[in-house]
Amino acid sequence: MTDFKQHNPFKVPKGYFEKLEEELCNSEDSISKLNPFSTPENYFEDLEKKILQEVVTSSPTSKRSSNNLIYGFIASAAAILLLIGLFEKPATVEIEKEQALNDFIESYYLEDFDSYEMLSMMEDNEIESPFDQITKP
Amino acid sequence: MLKQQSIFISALRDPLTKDEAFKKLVSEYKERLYWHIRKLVLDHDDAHDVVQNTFIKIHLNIDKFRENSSLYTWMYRIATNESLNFINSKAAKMGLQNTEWIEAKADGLMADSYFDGDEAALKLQKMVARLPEKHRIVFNMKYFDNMTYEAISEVLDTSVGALKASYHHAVKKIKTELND
Repeated sequence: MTDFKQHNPFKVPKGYFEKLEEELCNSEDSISKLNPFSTPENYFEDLEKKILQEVVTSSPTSKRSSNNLIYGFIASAAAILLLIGLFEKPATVEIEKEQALNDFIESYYLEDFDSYEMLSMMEDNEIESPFDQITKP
Repeated sequence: MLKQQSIFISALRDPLTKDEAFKKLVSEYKERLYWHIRKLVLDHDDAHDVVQNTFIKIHLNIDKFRENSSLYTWMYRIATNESLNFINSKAAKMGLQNTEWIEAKADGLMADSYFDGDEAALKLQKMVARLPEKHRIVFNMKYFDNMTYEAISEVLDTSVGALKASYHHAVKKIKTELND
């Protein structure tokens, strides 16, 4: 009796359980499987062009060349700054010193001398003639 | 088939034929990859960004493709990863979990001019959005894209058994919610 109980006399078609699983999993077919999403008109025609453009701009060669440009620019800027740092700064200091001295002398003269006295201390060629400003015909 | 693929991949790698071959690749796969991405990110503009990034990645990494799977599977994997990275970054920027961000997207579908599903389709999308991320991906690939477990297994690098379990849980959860 026990043997009879243990033996299952019922059979199923070959591959039934594999199919059954598929059928069970797809039994929610009452819900539309139709794609509810849409795209703008002619989207896929334009998409191809856009992708190809994007790929060109982001390709390693263009990246590399743009990187080279950036590195070149940074290197040039650094070189210019270095040059300015080496040469320009002392010159600026010189100009500033000279300017300060001139300002001091000028203010000293302006305070203590009138214009006639100042003119008398200058060389003839240092005195600008008002006629020099008039352009000749 | 494999021989043909190998020839095509060689063309994609050869600097002389790369551009022409890539054009063919885009023409052949753009729609399939777009729809896969769209079902994951839901929004058209987001899908557009991701599909472009996907093709850029494909173009840049074709030399790294080891040909131990089909080209389409490899591209599908890149598209899936790009979609998930996109969701991760968008969600992180808003201080949300990925599922929260997707749920918010699904809630806004009715107002989306590029969604023309009926109420049932909307309800299904909202329920799918509430699934855990892995279940959601498996459900999309199996239910909407009709992919076999073997193909999904290759794309997601997960065993067929684990995929069946994921799909089963997803279907069960959706059914329960539908009955409520």
